[in-house]
Parts: sequence; structure tokens; C-alpha cells
Amino acid sequence: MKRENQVVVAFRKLLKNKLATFCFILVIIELILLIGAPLFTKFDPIEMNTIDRLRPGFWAASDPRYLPEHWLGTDELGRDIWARILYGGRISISVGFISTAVGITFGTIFGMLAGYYKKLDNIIMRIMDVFFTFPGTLLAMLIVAMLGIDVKNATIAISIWSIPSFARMIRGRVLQIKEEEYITAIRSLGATDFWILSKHVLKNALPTIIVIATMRMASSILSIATLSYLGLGVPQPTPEWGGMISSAKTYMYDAPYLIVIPGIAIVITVICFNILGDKLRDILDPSLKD
Amino acid sequence: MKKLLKSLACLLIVASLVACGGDKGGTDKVVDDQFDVVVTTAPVGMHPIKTNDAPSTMVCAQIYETLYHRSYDGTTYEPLLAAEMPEFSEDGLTATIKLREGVEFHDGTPFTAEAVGYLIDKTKDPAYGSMRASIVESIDSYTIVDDHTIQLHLAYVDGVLIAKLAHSNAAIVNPVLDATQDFLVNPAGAGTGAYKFESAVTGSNYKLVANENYWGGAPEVKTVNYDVIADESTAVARLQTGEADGYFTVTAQSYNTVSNIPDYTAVNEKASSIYYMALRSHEESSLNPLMANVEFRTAILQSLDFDTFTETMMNGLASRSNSIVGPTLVGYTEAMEAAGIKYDPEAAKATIDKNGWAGQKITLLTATRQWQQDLAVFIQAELAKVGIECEIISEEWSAFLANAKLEDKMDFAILTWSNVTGDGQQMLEPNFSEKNGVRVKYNNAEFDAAVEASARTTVLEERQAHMLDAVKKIQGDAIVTPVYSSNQLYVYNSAKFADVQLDKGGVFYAKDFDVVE
Repeated sequence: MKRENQVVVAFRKLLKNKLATFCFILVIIELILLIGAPLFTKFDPIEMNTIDRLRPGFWAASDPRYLPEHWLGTDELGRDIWARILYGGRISISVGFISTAVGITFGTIFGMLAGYYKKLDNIIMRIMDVFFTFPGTLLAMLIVAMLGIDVKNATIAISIWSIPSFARMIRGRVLQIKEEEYITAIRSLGATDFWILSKHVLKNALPTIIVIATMRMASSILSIATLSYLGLGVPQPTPEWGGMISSAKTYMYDAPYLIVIPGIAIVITVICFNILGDKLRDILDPSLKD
Repeated sequence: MKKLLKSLACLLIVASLVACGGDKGGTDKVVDDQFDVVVTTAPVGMHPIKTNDAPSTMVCAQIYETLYHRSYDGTTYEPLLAAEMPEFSEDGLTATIKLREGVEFHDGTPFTAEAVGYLIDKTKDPAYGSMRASIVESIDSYTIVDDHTIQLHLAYVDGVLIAKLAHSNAAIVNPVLDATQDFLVNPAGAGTGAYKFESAVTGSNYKLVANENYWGGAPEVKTVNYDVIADESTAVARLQTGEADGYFTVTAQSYNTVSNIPDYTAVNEKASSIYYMALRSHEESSLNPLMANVEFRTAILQSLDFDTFTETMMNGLASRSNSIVGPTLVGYTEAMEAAGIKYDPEAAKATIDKNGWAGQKITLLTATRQWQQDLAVFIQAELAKVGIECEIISEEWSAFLANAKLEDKMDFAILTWSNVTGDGQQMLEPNFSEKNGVRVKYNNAEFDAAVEASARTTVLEERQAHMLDAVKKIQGDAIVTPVYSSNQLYVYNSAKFADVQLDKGGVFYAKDFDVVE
């Protein structure tokens, strides 16, 4: 009887949970909106029109300053907020995705090597410990300060920051897997280390990787928002949710929606990924709770 | 029962932590005669001769004094450490200044003519690091007649001598201590002013206490405390909670909010400050060699709609002028308005297309203050419309000031000048002349000659004519363009303090404040 793929089984179990399903649908809708941004807004997120600055949104529909074409209002430079949310979200999600992917790749390599080879374990984990001594945001700030402020460098910074977490988690999983009897059996049949690592260890560590990756997406999105808020992420005028909050601080009292709207976008995205990660963890790898 | 006890214990710990959390930004506000100021930019230092930025001047103005100072309404100059206005010889080349008697530095050293001579000598000395050596340029030599009389021998008739001697960079410092103490970080005993330096945490907090032996009488405000809060919205929150009594650099964006704080008075008044853009014009001092081309620079300026920016972004709290020497300055004439390069995006685009300059990249250096950020983004967007790519480099204030002087950091910058003296020549010469225009690096002999000529006469019409020549030259060459003249916006706790005001250069003098009983 053909054994069903773990991931497919996990996904089916995930969709049985109402909250997870809701979050999953939200994430899909968000991705559709962000990827298809030009279809959902006619405004250029960068184009300014200072004459129409600080227009309120639909909540102030009776206000004479409200313009229906700017349903979420305009910012301090007259840019459409909905357009900036959509295009800004593209940056957040893509930085989150790329940094997570880089983190997974290198974290998995280092984690597998550290977990499988005792001699490499000490060296690799001590290097990871050095990275762990820095608070994550501070490490990212240091890297951006060295490389310069732009999206690419912010992505590199967040990726580097992600690697130690992945490495440590994967190492732990690999330490468990390599003690399994079937691994001993395969090894005694003459299988090479590369074969064992790539065909068996990695395959069995996949559920762990998926869980960590999902949760890491949330932290990465929050990280790029934090860096942009501090002025070290996405440079102006390119929209990014954290950057939008930062530049709206001065208008906190007059136009709080400039902060609330990108804030809600960050909250929804991060919570959805976190919940999905939580549920996947419960299904795929409950040991990660510890 | 155990759970209940645990919960109570947790509540007690939290409550005691909250009770202990009374520290407000490093200073405890326990007296009513302490004036707490929030500043959003840290002073570069506390030496009046070696610093030239507004945040530093705001601290130095309490500690040090000049021979003369400008009246609050900006219309006259009055003696301060001088006892009276100077007596000029018939040929105008000798100025005799009688000094006020009974004045002491904060360490008890008597203030004498020697200190004035020290100022002149040190300001002239390139090794000393004066930010405004030009202040004493017209002074060939001096004679100390007696302890309280000094004669200045001028190389030429200086039409702005008194204005220069009223400038914050001409403040008198303690010559005895200056040799052994770094006043930039420790000005204890350094000045003659109504306040003495007490303590400082560089970049964070500066505390001054009243000089009870002040020659003008001990001030009512006994302590002036500056807290550096980089974020303006946090600074405004300090006002709202009553932790701060004054904020003297309110932006147009925050004015509406501060105007509605109970027990606080917000003030909006005309000022001399100007916010402008300065462009590099030599290949060796720019990142893009095209900046040496006047047509390119002209196209840049033609693409910028500062009228709309000022009208829409400044909430009616700033005014536009096409002249770098604004209408509030001595020397201004209406003819200067025609000197500026007008907004003409079609002409800009035509020039750029004709020369194949589309896609050219230029670098704008700016500080991280919100108004500069907003303006930088606006400029970037305007330039993008005509096909010029503008990279913005934002730096913290001191780094910005330092890097704006370097050769390889920018193509143009957003700058500001308080116009402390209220004189147009003192706008042009320190900012754009070859000797002093270290940020602009214009280096134009014709311009320098016109600026110098405007200082070498006391006849207003002659000064105006020379300044007009200078303005036409520098603005015609697309080196500078005014963005706006901001009104002076500030707010203070009027329930506790009265007579709080700024002079036209944006400086307050706490010695003139009254404490409300």
C-alpha cells in the first residue's frame, strides 16, 4: 500500500481546524491582492500629490475632505494608502520569503552537518552561539550599517539572523533521526553519508523545516517592518509597512489612520503565519513545543 | 490559597515597579523654577566659537554672552557685554568699545578687554577651529586701552561689524580656562552668562543652573534642563504630560497638536530662518560630474515646485521667496525676487531630453529630521518626473554637518540658516563665499567680490546693490535656491512661565523668563 505523503496528510489535518483554515484563506487572499496589486489599484504608490495630502478614508465618508477614489485615505505626501499597503506588502512578503528561504537553506546545511558529524558540531554551534549573543534586531542593524541601507541589504541582514535559529532546530532533529535503527541499518549496508543525509535525514526533518519556516515567515515580516521603522530597511519613497508607520509618527494625533492601517496589515499577516505555524507544529512535530 | 497568595505577590511586585518608575528621561522634575526644554537634535558641543549649529547655539546662548545682541523684535542692536555702542573714528577704521564693568566669568575671573582680544586672536587662528573666522576678518589689530576699553583697528570700513560682534560665534569665552579645558564637553566656568554649566550626558541631557552672581541680576528660572528626544512625536508627548515646559523647534506638522495642549501657549511668528537647497558645481566636489554643468543644475531647479510644497506641506506656517536673501533681512530688495530660477518642468524636461541626461543619478544629502525627510522625498519625486534619479542619503545631524563639508558625499543638500544677525551679507558670506562656504564650495570670485563689497560700506543702498549682484550671480548659476522661510513655531508652559520668547534667530534666553507665582 502506498504511503501517503506526510505533508499532504498534514495539510488535510490542518484544513480541518477552523482557525487554521481561516488564516490560510486570509493568507491566500493577501497573496492574491499583493501579487495582483496593479489590478486592485490604479494609483502609483510613490506618486505624490501634496494638494490631496492627509485625506481621511471611508470612515469619514461624510467629511468634505474625503475622496472616494482614495478609500483608505492619503498620506502626508498625498500618496494613496491602499496602493502603498499593496505594494508595501509585496516588499514585506518577498523579504520575508527570501530571508526565510536563505535561512532554511543555510540553516539546514549547518544544522545537518552539526547534528550528523560530532566533530563539526562544536565548531558550528559555537559560531551560531556568537550570533545568538546579539539581539536579533541589533545584529540586523549592525549588518545594514556595514552594508548600506537598501532592500537587498536588509534581506541579507534578516537572512543571516535567521540562520542560527534554523541551524539549532535542525541540529536537534538530526540528532534524533541519526539514532534511529533504520539509519544504522542503511549505514551498515554501505550507504554514503551524503545519501543518508539527503535521502533520509532531510526527508524526515522536512516537517520540522516546514513548521519553522512558517513561523519564521512571521518573524521575518516583523523584522523588515522593524528595520524600516528604524530607517534601516526599505529606503524612501518605496513603500513598506514599517516605513509607513515610521513616517506617520509626526501625524499621530492628526491622522492616526496613517499608523493604524499599516499596523493592522502587519498584525493580520504575522498572526496568520504564526497560527499556521502553530497548527502545523501540533500536527507535524509536537516535540517542537518544547 | 497558594494560587491566591502567588497572585497577590505578583500584583505587589508589579505595583512596586510602577511606583518606582518615576524617572522621566533622566531628570526628576521637583522644582517649579526649573525650565525643561525638549530638543530633537543633540547639540554638537558647548563651545560658542567652535560650533555653529542651532541646537548648540540654544545651549551656548545661556552660558556665554556677546558684546552686542539683537533686540527681540530684530530691529536694533543693543550693548550686552559692551557698555555702550562703539565709537567709530571719522574714517570708520577704528572702533572704540567700552566694556561693561563688574562682569565676571563663572569661575570668578574678571571679564576684561583681554578676553575680547583673546576672542579675536583665536577666531583668526585656523588651528583653533572657529566656525566663523570671517567674523573678525575686518579687524586688522586691536589695542587694549585699559581693562575695560578696547580699540579695534579695521582693515576696511565694515558695515556689519556690530552684527558680527552680536553673532553667537563671537561670544566671549574665559581665556584662562579655554587653554586647559575642552568647552565643547565641559564649559564649567567658561562664560559670563546668566547660567552656569552643571552637568551633561552628551547627546542626551544638558543641565544649567542660575548664575546667582550674574551682572544683570540672578534669573528667576533657576535651572534650565535640556532633554534630547530625537522623535518629535515623543517630544510632543512630553509636553502633553507636563514633563517638558518648552519646545522651541516645533514643525509645521506638529503645530496644530501643540496648539491644543491645555496650559501651554503655542506661538507662531515671522522669523529670519531660511531653508534652502545648495548644489555642488565642480566635478571634484560632486559625485556626478554633470553637476559642473550650469544647464544641468538649472534643469534640476526648474523641476522643483517649491511653491506647491510650501503651500500644501507647511500648513500656512511658512512663506516663499525667490531670493536666498529673504524679505526679513537687511539688504533685501524686491529686485532679488527675479534672481531665482523659476519652476518650469517643461523646460527642465526639454533640457534633459535634448542633452540625453534622462536616467542621470544625483545624490541628495539630508539630515534625519522629519521636515528634511519630507522635503527630500518631495524633491526625489519631482526629479523623477523629469527623468532624473535622486538617491537620498539621510544622516544623523552631527554626521550630516560633518559630511556636508566633504568632497565626495553628495551632489546637493538641504540646509538651513537661522540668520541670527538679520543681515543678508551674513547669510551670503558665511555660507557661500570661498573662504567659508565649506558645504557649498561655490568658489566664485565675482560672487565673493560682491559679498565683500556689501560689507565694506555702511550706506544701505550701496549694500543692497552689492547684495543684489551677489544674489543674481549665485542664483543665476543655480548654486542655491530658497525653499521656504519658516515661521518661528514654539510652545511653552504658560501656567508656570511667562515672557517666554525667541529672538529672530530662533534663540531663547531663559534669564528673561518669569516664573508665574
